[in-house]
Amino acid sequence: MVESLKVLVYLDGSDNSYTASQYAIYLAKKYHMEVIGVCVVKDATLDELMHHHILLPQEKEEYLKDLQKDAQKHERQFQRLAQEKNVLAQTMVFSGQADTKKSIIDLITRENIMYFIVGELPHFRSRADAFYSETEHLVYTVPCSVMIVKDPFRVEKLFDSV
Amino acid sequence: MSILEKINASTVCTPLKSTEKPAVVRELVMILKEAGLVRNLDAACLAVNNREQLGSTGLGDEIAIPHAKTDTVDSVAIAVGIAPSGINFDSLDGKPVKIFFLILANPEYASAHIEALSEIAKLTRNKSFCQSLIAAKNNAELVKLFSVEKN
Repeated sequence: MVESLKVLVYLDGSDNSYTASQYAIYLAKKYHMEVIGVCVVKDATLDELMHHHILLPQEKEEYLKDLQKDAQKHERQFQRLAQEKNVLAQTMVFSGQADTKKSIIDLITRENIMYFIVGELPHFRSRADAFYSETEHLVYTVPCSVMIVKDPFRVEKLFDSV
Repeated sequence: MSILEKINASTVCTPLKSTEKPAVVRELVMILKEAGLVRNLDAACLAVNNREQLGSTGLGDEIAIPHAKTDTVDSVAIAVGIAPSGINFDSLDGKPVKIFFLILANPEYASAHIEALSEIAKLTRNKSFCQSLIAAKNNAELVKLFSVEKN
C-alpha cells in the first residue's frame, strides 16, 4: 500500500497564514494528501517583552492565556476550512518553554512530511529581524521542501475550484 | 500585517500639545478616535490608565508604549505621538518621554497585539530612527520616516 503524502501548514492567524491554509487544503483535496495544521504559542516573545519591561509579569500570564485561546481559534478556523472541502485535517498546538522550532522539525521527520507550507513572509528591516522570525527560521531549517504561498486571489480561486 | 502599515497621517501627531501624563494618554486616544478607529474615547482612556496604574509603560530612553486591551477598537489600532520637549510619564529611568506609541487592541486580537508590541520594541532599538522621529518637523515628515523604514 502506498503511503499518502503529507503536508504541514503553519498557522498563526494572519491573512498570509489563511492563504497558506487554503492552499494546503486545496492540495490535500486535489492530490489526496494528508494535511496537518500546526500552531505555535509564542511564549518566547512574551518573555522578551517582559525582559524589556514592556509587559508586567501579571500581564504575561494574562497574554499567555490569550495567545493559547488564539491558537485554539486558529485551529478551529483551519478545521472549518478543511471541513468545507471534506478534507480530514489534523491540528497541533505547540506551547510552553520547549524549543517549538525543534518540535516542528521533529514532527516533520516523524510524520515524513512532504511539504512545509507557509504564507508569504513578512517584510524584514534587517537580518536581525529575520533571525528573530520563527517562520523564516523554520523555512531555512526544516528538513523537507518548503512552499511559500503567495497570490491570495489565485489561491482563493483554486480553493473554490475543489 | 506590519504595524508600519497601520501608521499614516491620521494616526500620528507631532508635536503633542499635552504636558502631563493623563492628558497625553487622552490626546493619543483622541488621535485614534478622530481617525475613526476608537468608538468610545472614555472607555479607551480608562483601559490605558488602568494599565498604567499597574506600572508605567515609560520604558526609558525617552520612549513609552502605553497599551491596553479594549473592545472599543475592532482589531489593533496604533497612534504615534512625539513630544520634543518631553513629558513626565513615570518612566523607569525617571526621564521625560518624547516618543509615544499607543496600542489599543481588541481582546480577540491577542496575537496581533503581542506582534505589535514586539515590532515596536525592535523598531525603537534603532537610536538614530528614534532621534529622527523626535526631530520630525510635522506629521508628513513623521509618516515619511515610517514609510522609509517600511521600505
